[in-house]
Amino acid sequence: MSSRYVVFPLGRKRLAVPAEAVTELVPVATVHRFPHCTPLLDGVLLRNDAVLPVLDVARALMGESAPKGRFYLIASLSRDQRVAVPVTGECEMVVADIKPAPVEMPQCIDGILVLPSEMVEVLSLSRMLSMGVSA
Amino acid sequence: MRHKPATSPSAQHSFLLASIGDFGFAFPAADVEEVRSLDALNSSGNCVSPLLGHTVRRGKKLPVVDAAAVFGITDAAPSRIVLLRHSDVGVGVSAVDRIRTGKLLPLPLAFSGDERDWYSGLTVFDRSIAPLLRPEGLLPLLRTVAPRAVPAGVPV
Repeated sequence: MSSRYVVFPLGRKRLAVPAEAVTELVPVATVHRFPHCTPLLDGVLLRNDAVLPVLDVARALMGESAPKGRFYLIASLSRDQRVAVPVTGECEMVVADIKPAPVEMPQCIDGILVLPSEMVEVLSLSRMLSMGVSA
Repeated sequence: MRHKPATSPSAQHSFLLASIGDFGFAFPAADVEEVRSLDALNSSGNCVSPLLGHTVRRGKKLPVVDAAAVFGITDAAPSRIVLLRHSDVGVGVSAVDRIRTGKLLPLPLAFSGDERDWYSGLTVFDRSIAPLLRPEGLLPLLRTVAPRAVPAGVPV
């Protein structure tokens, strides 16, 4: 059964997350940083009087050479948790079937979308955060 | 045991701002009892980081923790000691700034490391954010490297 996904760019790579998890796309804003021990979190954003942790997916996947974000994709991990993911360009909505991810792929990859011109990995933000590891 | 802060998102609170290196932190203004210079520090010179030494308050010896050492902040030599009421730990900071008014928000659940012990929440004022420091949350590392420095019965 087809579902809706939001595809977002991280430099030349494109990834996707389930559309129902995405709440908004906002311009780059100030990241407030402080000492902490949670891997993959860069700091926090202040958005509409709420504090959102910044989950630096690009740096987790590509290391220090990751491109800088131009926007923040705001996504829900759960009913009470949202994160901001830096993305390098505008996003698009697609409707597609999700195929199982190959076993050699990182556990934070939920599956693969087979689109007309490309294959896009579907990312589990909550699993990436809880694992605290890069893909 | 992770500390659960008592937060009221809509209420305004007063905070004493302090810096540790290039990072800003906050203490609840109503809880700040005293800010001392390092002259008040009794150090044998053999203190193991993050223990800076001890200071005496009303006849009681209190350990003073170098917060920069706990957080891994370099080039952040402490110059002041912040003492809170109802706390048996002094916190060494680089500088003390001013009292500001702002909101106190919970630390997002995505933060799952030792910072949940270090901070009671995040203060928000003038579009800036500073973690609200919890002195007892700095003790676990101190207990590991200098267990005798921590008075018995000090909760963590």
